[in-house]
Order: sequence, then structure tokens, then C-alpha cells
Amino acid sequence: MVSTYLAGTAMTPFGRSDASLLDLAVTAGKDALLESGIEPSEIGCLYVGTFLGQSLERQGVLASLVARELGLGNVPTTTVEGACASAGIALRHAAMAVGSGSTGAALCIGAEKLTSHPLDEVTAGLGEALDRETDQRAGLTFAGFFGLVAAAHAARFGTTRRDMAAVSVKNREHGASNPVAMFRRPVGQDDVLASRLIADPLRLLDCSPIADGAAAAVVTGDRPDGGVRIAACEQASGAVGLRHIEDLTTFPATTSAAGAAYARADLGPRDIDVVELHDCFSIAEIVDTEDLGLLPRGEAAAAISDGVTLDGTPGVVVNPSGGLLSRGHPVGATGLAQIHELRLQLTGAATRQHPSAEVGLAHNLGGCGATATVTILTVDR
Amino acid sequence: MDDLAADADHLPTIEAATVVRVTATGFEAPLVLAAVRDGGRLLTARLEVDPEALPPPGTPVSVTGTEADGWTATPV
Repeated sequence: MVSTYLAGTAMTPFGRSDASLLDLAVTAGKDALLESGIEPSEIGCLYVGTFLGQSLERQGVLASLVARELGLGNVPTTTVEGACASAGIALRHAAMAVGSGSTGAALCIGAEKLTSHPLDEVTAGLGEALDRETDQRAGLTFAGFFGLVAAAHAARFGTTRRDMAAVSVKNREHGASNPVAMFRRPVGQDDVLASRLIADPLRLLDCSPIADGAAAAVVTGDRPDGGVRIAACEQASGAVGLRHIEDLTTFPATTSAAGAAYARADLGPRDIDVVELHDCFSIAEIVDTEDLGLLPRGEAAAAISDGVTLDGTPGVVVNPSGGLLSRGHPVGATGLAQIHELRLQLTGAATRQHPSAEVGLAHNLGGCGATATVTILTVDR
Repeated sequence: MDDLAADADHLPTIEAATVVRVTATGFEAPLVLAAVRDGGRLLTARLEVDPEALPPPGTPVSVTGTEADGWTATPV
């Protein structure tokens, strides 16, 4: 396999946007190409991740449209759907295309347009990533699913409402300094606990907001300035519905992808300095932190409450961008926004900069654990 | 119609419960749902309880319905 690098990354601001899905994707793609110094004619293939581009925006073959707008010629294009992990999967395919030697450079983009649609349509659309035969039919939503996860985690490990609120407080503190985050106002524990119930025990400020936005990355085989290398980009699948789940307090897709990524990179959880993980709900960050092996199972909630993952001095910092809870969650774009933040961290260009980041990890979860990607980035000095 | 609680040796229990207060199209809020442990598998069931008094995990339930039509759980 050829070594693969991030030559450039970019993202649009996340939040409410008047731009179309296509314009968001093209903007992020153009900016990533500019950042990389790679010409459109050098790109050998394009992967575009989006979840509801077809259901809500009624646009299929988005990748081919984007390729035309970016002047990529007749390169092979693929639109990728993996629910919230669509962009992580797009990155994985771009890395595999370059790593296999089939092209010297690949572009991947994640894009989503949600806020212009009625909330019940978006909620139902997001629910398409749940099992249609059972969970959709029962009326389960993603907030409802993670409400069940929170209840199960609390019953097994004693995780408290305040532990969950601490995740939101931390990530809103982080997001306050991120100029492209949707929410940049810090909140306190009392704010979280006083916000309205969405799906017991989760409240509004435990939930990541839907958003519009796009993010992109240029993957090359040649070492770029900054030398950010994709040491591993792994994917695994798991349960689509409750009927496939054995244990509500862990996502096997995450543990499998993480295990494969650590093995490929020849690194372990203790080597990671900075993490962008999939905090679609506050409880998700607690479960993800344990599934990624960053903290022992059953101990993450209290440790996060104690500030262990706040600033990386010492140890790991989690979601310095503000995560989904603060940056916002334009579903199909999130995985590459995580990568953009990590590239900034590893090149010393982040607004909330880790003091000495050398190794970064991104975790992107789709559905109720139906798919997950784990990417490890290092720096070739 | 299946009645999982009809088997005396087989009593499903609530693994976790939630009240979905913001529902998707076609469902009326609040919607009380539970993950019910039935032997080695989990079921998604409508839970017939007061939304303001969710039963704790481990509560035994009677489950009726079918996978095609959906499950309904009632604490016993």
C-alpha cells in the first residue's frame, strides 16, 4: 500500500445556510483543493458523502454534479451513504483509492442540507437509518434510541444526569472558540438540566443540532507540507435495530473499527493526543470514549465530569472543535469536519490548539451503530 | 398474536425505557418506548405506563403483539 496523506482540508461554517446542497459541497471541495495546491485535473476520483440528499433534497448522483462544478472532468464519482458516517466512509474510499496506487490524488466531500425542511420531515428522514421492520414502525427516533442507551448506561454503571450534562458543557466550552461552529455560547450544567426534555433522560442541550454544511479533504500519495499522514482509516458494521443489539452500552462497530485502526497504525489508545468523536448526544461521547479504549468501561462518565478530556494536559483532549454538540451536525458532512479539525490540530493551526498534538483520532458513527469509521492521523516530520 | 408472558418460565424485563417527546410524522407525543429483554434478544415495545413514571430497568413485563404489527409491553 502507498502511504496516504491529507494535502488539504476545508469546511463551510455549520449552521443555517441559504446555499443549496450542491453549492455547499462545491464550496468545501474548492476550498480543500485550494488549500492542497492540487489542480482539479490531478484528481483521479471523487467520493461525496450525504445521507438525506436524496430523501429530502431529491438529488441523486450528487457526486457527478459536484465533479462537473469543480472541473474534475470525467473522473469516476461515487455518492456514499452511511447515515451519519457518510463522510467518514467517503474518506476511507479516497484513502483506499490512493493507497492502492490507482490514482495519485482523490477528493472526498461530505455535505448535507437539513434546516430548510420541516422538523418532523427531518426527524423521519434521520429515522431511515433505523430498522424499518421494527424500530421505525414503533416510532423510535434517534433521540429515543440514545435515551435508551443513556438509561441502560445509567443502570449498569451509575452514570448520572450531571455526568451527561458535563459532556455538553465541555463541548460548548470548546466550541466557543471555533469560528465555524454553529453554537459558540458556553452553557452551564444548570442550563443543560433545565433545557426541555426530548427523550428521557436526554434534554435539548444533550442533543446535537441538525445543520447545513459541507467539509472536504484532498488525499494524496505524495507527502504534502505539514506531513499529515493517514496512518489508518478503518470501517466496521454493526446493528441496524434493537433486535440486533446485545448490549445497549457499547457499539461493536466502533470497537471493531478502532481495533483495526490501532492495529494498522501500530498505535494504541494511550498514543492518541487529540480526538474528534461522534457526540451526536451527550451519552454517545461517554460510550464512544469507552469503546475507543480511551478510558476504562464504566469510568468515562465520571472522568469526563472531572475534566480528564478537557484540555489534554496531560492525556487526551476530546472534541476540541466543540464536537457535534457545538459545531452542529450536518449529518453527511460531520466525518470530514472531524478530519479538518484534526489536520488543524496536527499542523498547529487550530483555534483551540492542543499543546503538543502528534497523533489524532476521528470516530464517525452511523445509525444506531450500523456503521463506524475510525481514522488515525500522524505527522511525518 | 404472541403473548411472550404466557410462558411461565419466560418473563421479559425492561432493559431501558424512554419517553419520546419529539416524534416523527405519524406518531403522537409523548410516546413511551422500551427496550425489552426477551431471553437473548431485545425488542422495541410500546410501553403502557404513565410517561411521568417510567418503570426502572429490570421491571418484568407482559409483552403482546407480533414483530410485524409491533410489540406492546405492560408491567406485571
